[in-house]
Amino acid sequence: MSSAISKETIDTVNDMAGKYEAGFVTDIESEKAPMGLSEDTVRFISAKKSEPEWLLEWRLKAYRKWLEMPEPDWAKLDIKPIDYQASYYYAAPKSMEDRPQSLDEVDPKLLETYEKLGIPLREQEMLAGVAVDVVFDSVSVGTTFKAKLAEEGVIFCSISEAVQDHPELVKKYMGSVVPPGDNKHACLNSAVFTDGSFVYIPPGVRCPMELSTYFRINELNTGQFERTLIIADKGSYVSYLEGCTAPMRDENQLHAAVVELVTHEDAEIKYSTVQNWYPGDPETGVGGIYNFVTKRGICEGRNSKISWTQVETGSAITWKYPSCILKGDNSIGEFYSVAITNGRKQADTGTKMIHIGKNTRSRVISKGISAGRANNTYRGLVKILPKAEGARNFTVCDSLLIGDQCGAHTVPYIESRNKSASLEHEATTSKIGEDQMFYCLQRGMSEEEAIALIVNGFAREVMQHLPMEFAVEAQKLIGISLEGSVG
Amino acid sequence: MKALKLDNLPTPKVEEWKYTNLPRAISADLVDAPVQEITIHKTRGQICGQAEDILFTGEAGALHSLRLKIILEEGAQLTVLERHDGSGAYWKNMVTEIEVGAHARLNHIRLVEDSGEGVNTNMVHITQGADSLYNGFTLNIGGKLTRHEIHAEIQGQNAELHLNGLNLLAGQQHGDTTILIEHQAPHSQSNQFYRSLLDDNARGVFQGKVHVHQIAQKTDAYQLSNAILLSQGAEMDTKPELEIYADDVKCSHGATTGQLDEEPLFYLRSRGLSEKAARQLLIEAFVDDVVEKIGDEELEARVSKMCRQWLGGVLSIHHKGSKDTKFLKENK
Repeated sequence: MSSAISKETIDTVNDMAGKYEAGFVTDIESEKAPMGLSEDTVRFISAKKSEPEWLLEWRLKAYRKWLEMPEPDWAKLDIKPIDYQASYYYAAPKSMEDRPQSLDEVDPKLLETYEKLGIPLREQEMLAGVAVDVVFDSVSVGTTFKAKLAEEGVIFCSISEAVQDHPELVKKYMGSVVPPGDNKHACLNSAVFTDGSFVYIPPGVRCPMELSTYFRINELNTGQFERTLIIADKGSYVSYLEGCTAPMRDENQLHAAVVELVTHEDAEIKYSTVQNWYPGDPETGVGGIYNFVTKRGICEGRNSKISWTQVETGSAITWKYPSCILKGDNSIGEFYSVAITNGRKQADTGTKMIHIGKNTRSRVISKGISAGRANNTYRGLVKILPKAEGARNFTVCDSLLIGDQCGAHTVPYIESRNKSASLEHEATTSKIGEDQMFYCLQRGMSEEEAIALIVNGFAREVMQHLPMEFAVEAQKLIGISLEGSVG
Repeated sequence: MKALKLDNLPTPKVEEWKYTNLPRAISADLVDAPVQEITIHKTRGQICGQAEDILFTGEAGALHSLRLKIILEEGAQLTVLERHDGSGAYWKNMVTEIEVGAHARLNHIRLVEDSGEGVNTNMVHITQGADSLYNGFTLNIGGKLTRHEIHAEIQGQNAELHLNGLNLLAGQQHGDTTILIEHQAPHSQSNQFYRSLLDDNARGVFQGKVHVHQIAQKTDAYQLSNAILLSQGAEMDTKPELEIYADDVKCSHGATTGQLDEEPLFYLRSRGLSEKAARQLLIEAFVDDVVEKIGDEELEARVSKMCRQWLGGVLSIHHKGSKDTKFLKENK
């Protein structure tokens, strides 16, 4: 581990000199829905995607509900009132008008954008490895490896395509885990969701490669509302990765996503996120993405498993609680998280583990790092229902404070209604030890290198759970997002 | 002090902490009892060997508005024993104000044995000066609904705060402990240690929050809640919170909910103890760990006896052969 971060990370950190690397804008002509939100916007989006009648109805119902719902206000976040009318809800590059059939037909400018971000689509298509679906503002640009996956019966496409090609699956599962009225942000997403990924793994299939989606917000004043739905049928397995970036802007942009996972008997989904949305100006706190995400999975069948791993380094505000509903007997839910806040970032993140079935198990490892003038909150719920005989939960949440202007908070809710259930929770808050720093410094490391090293060690337990391709990136990100936290 | 209007009770939604439902627990036809106010004031340097013993008795049909004020000036030392009992349905609504001056030491022991229909809500506000000590202990075995809410402000350096408690609840009892400790000065220390035993359909709530202000560097705060559910209908809700704005601190918390560990049980059984005796021994040890924090032998013995009595009642009903022993018997 240490050798992996040492040279490369330090070089990268130095190269960046504290800049948000993904902050460029791609100059591309795009087509947008009229600014603001109304029933017409919803109809516009639905028409753009030539959606069937039932889906339009579904969206409109969600929209009407959204109008009445209150903003969730229980999180420890200071959010300026959001002007929902000052944003575009649909933006698509013009060149995507008539759906390109393969990567060769995709606008080179788009491919360039992703290459700049370190995701060379063509290369990835050549070299075996990861299948990628890339979403640019409101549309999916392309999905690689479709044919190879189809051989195995795996469906991996954008959700808009899924609506056209597999309406029965979409109709059955969409909204089954996160109902449209779950919370205001999920409700907004249900009304105006544009693109996102759809994955279906047939019974008994172990997905031959990692699936990945890359989300990019490019347009000014545009919100991104993607919706991801992953279904793992009996005995199947899939590992899915998600990454996100956005240009640097002075306006706050809204990202309200919904992710739903369903695992049937003996199936497993491993879902990893590296979130690096633009966090706003570190000094003034101007700009940045509001990341309001509802992620939830249900372990429907016996012995199924859902594992969430997240590395949260970006966004001005993070409001995110990837959760597991452990319904099937013996099912397992896991949550591994590293959340880093620096500058004036705010994060309120955690998980919910709802134990319904017998012998269900959950494990929560959360590492929060707070620096600058940031506030970082872990908020989690573990709930054992009366029928969850023999349920077990183990939770550790550790916080690390760098500097005396930041805050770290831990708010666990632990509710047990079964006597045979066993729950353990522990949390600590500390700072980087003076002796640790001293040791690194006397070996000739600079203060920032030392901090990157120590923080990577602190977060190691979580990083181990990231797929290889992401682990290296994530380590670098940690170093970069802590830039300027000392001195 | 004017008593609260009963039809104006805060609902769980208003209070934003959903665990205790006051309006449902309190009957509407209570009659105001005369306001009872007790003040204990110890002047500078006064060291009291004799404990102050206070008893609050609830009467059927009454709404008691109680006020207790304890002021210790610089260097004073005192032990206060606060006891609660009563009969029939009533509501004790109590406010306690405690000021512990610099270098002062206060031992505060609360023994709550309210009647099975009684409701006891107690709001406690504590302020502490530099180098002071507050050592609090609560044994709660009574009441239909009890809510013990403590707000402690550590205003002076090097102060030490201990809040320990036992909630032994059965039947339909509901016991709520809510704590907010504010560290407003550097080098202070706080400890919370609460344990709950819940039988039948009892419900225990523990919400403890440690708030470390930015100035309060070198704070040492610890928080532990353990609960054992003895029956299938029992419920425990725990919410230990940390809110920290200073970086050079040591703050941690732990919370467990479950049943007795199988391993120690097996160990004791292998040493020839009957299952009943082994269980009893482990539960007594679970309780005694907290009782020992009182730090006064005489009082510890008294509290321990009360706990034993409660346990005796519960354990005799509960003893049934476990699956393992059945297996052994059937395979002979």
